[in-house]
Amino acid sequence: MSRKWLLPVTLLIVVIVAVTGFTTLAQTTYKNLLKVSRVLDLIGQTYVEEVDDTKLYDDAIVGALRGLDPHSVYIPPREMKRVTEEFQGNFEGIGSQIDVINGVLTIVSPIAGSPSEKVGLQAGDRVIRIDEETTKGITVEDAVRKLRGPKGTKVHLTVERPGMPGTLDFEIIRDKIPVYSVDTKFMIDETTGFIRCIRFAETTADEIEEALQELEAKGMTRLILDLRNNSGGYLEQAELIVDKFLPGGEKIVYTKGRIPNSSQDYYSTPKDRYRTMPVVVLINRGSASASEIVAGAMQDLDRGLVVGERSFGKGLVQNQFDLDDGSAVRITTARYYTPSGRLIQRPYDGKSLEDYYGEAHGNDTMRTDSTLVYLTRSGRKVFGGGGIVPDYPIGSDTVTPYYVRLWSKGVFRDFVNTYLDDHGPKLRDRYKSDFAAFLKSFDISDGDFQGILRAGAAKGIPADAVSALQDQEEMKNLVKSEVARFIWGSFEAAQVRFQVDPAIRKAMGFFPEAEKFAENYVTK
Amino acid sequence: MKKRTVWTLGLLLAGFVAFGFTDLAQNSYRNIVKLSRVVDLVTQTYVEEVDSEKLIEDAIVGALKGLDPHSVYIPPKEMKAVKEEFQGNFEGIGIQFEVVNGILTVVTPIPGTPSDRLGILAGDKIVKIDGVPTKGITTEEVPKKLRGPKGTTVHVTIERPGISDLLEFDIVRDKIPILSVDAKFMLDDKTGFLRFNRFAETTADEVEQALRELEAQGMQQLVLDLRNNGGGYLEQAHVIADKFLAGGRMIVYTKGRIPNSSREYYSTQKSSYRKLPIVVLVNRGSASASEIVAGALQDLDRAVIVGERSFGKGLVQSQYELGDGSAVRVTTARYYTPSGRLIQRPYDGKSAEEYYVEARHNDTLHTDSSKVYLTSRGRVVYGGGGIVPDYHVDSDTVSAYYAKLWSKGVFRDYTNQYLEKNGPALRDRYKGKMNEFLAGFDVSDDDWRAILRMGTEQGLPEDLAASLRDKDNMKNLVKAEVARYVFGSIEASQVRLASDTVVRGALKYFDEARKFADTK
Repeated sequence: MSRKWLLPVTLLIVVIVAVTGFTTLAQTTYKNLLKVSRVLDLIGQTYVEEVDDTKLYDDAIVGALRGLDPHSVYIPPREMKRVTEEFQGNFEGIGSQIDVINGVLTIVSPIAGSPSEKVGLQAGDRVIRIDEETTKGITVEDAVRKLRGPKGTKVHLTVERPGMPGTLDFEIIRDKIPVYSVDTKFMIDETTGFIRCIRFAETTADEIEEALQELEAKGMTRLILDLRNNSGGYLEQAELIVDKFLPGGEKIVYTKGRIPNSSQDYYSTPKDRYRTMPVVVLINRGSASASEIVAGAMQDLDRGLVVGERSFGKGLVQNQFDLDDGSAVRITTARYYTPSGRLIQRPYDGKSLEDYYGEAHGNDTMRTDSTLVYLTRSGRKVFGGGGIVPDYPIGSDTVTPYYVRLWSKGVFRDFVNTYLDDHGPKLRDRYKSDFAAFLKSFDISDGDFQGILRAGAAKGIPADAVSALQDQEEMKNLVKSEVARFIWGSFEAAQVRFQVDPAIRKAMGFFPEAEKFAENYVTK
Repeated sequence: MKKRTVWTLGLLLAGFVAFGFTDLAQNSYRNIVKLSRVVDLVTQTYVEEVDSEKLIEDAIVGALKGLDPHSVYIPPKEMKAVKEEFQGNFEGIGIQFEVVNGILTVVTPIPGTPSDRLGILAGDKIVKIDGVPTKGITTEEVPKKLRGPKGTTVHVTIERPGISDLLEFDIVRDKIPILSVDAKFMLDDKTGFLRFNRFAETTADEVEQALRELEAQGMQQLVLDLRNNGGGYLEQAHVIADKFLAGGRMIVYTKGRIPNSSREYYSTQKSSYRKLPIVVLVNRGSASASEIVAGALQDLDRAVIVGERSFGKGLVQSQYELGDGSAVRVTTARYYTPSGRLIQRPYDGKSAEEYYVEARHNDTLHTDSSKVYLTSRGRVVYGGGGIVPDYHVDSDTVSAYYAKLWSKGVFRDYTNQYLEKNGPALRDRYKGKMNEFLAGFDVSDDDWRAILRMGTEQGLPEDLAASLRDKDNMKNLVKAEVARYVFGSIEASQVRLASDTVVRGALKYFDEARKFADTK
């Protein structure tokens, strides 16, 4: 047994060292590789039970990367597919958000412009058969697997529609389905545009451009850019987005690394269509990486006002290397710095992954280290030490534990489903062509609100009058936004949710200062 | 740079082709290639230079972590200490020492070692080693200077309290035993007490010797203390359990995948202590080999098990040395007590931290009625992890006040000061008279109050209730240090254990233990 591994490994090393020509690096590296292969081989042969060789090596890779920093990671093949789709900005399928509700596969919302929408699938449709096969007992994962497929292929759905007798049959030709980065864009008032960007993918800068043009056409003269919980993505997209708001020749961000091309300065170009538009950037502890590049540049160049919570503090750039089996590793190859020279990365030495991520949730927005002071272009003080410290703090919304319990027991979801069964089609007929009227005048009644609390009590959560009152507006808004999703789609649902977001209202109050920043760029 | 990567991969593949396309090999080589590529990428592209040795160690640790909490990597640095601990000796001069305020002080010479033979005493201050002043030396530096191969000489200069001249010693280094048996004495006229803290190469021999000594002192029954004994070699557990059993009984069996990993261990005819009534003490720190002994004596109705539920480590590791001084311990088998109980606690989905923390909070009395096993006489015992004692007795606890005094080093500082003042006189008075010391020496109430005052000076306000509750314990702690100074470490343990309520309480189980003892 022991001879078996000795033979190949020794041979390998002999061949390798002989041919690579005894450089010291190669020698130590290969001595070390020999060591790890020997251990993994021993485990494979002697462990008390049979070991999955692939898992063993994957664990080794994960272990090696964990010793480096929290953002150098291994992505197994299965996860890679999802990650690739998310960041290339599309996947191939029919384009519906789906869920399994009480065991029934249900269309939550067809995505705008997708094949599902084109053939007329509607929110609330119940898919009872896929390609003549029953969906009884199907899981969301299985349904996704059946509905997705290469562009141009067909899938046949049999659907029951509430309020209609019999079943409907749809033949859907799969197509590329966009995964949007800009998931919300609307006018808050006559002059204020609102754009929320949830990732930095291949198409993000284009989507932002499109959103800016749409909102400008609706009269936007100032912008709230919401980067809360945007955990980042491609550095280049951040650069392109900041560029839109700056004249040419400004340093937006710079990186420093060890390999060629990893130390770079990124400058703005003269494409500056939105150079003088006042901007308030909203961030929170979930804003990371590319989001911090945008917020950091806008802050350091005195171009936009940054409000919210201190951001996550991820200032390491990874290169992704694809491995042959469909997996990939992301290796940190550089650190990045805002124009004033701030390193955005939070310290991580000696912290477990759990501590590192847990800490971000507890980060203290305004605590700053006075030894790490940097100056913006006009000489304002900003602080290093990890993350972007906002110019003005705005805390996150909090809800009561009662609300959280209702949420986690699925009370809202169940209530919404019943509500939509009863009222969905009627409301669609009434409001479909007039979202503005819906936003303004539709409200969930107090009777329905009581219905939620009763549904909670039925599931073992006794009604808590004080908490319920405190979160009344929030609960009603949640249902209203689901009605909007049912009638129109996700964009409109998000817009409804923002009606009760106090951070946005507070952000509005900072425009006078944001306008002064923008003026600095008028004469240039 | 890129080119080199591809090139090396090509070579690895060439190696692989040479070995014929068995499925296993193919899969393995694909994985090796993948891992090498990642290591190569990290070494070449990472934001800072990477220590490739550490990278590989982390990879090994990562792979082992996915297996179980006891499959571990031991880096070269730790290996030396581990080896010494389990082979039962190292080479040096044989003192326990302490560095207090930068001064190297002998805590006690180890009996039978060169230091002991030359007459080095507790309290001696080593001011020079080979002519070099030791002032400001750190605890880590001391062994580097004093240890060395057997037969070599080290010269130390000693300042002894009460003697004005410096003393010079040439010490010839020798093998220094690391004893596993750290307490052996008679609790009363007929009850022997034996404690050992690991199962190393020499443990069974030490146990045999201790049992003979105790028998010579009149032992007719034994308290065997396995508390906080974290285990060691399975074979030693086998040999020790064997001493107490008649021949032909199965003591433990293992099941694994490789040849020789599935074995049954039986008792032999060498059953010298077969009729000795035994009470075994266990606690949550008793693991592995300790659980083999406790489990066998319980399942074979040979002893009464008293204390807390044990740790629950029932995996056997083989240790493989890796050529660079490091080693891996890979779990190659599970072991089972004679009744068929798997001792291992569940660990799936738990982090190593959770796994060990859980042991500290393990619930002694929580038993799983679906995992019932029968001893040889048909008593019910429980599986599910660890050995559940026949009688539950909690460990002694101390007050938070006591714990704070301890962690601030108050007891240590006080003891040092106390021994500085009284040590030599007490040595003259009691040396060679342990029984007299045990019965007649006590730390006075004044001394006890001085401890509390010292605590106050160090920022710990006196807590009257707590200090009264722990008064005897505090005095005993100082007394034990006096015993270490005058006699040695085994005697210090004896002082501590003589006031241990769990030990005292064990005596009442001997009626039952006598019924278990083989009277044939």
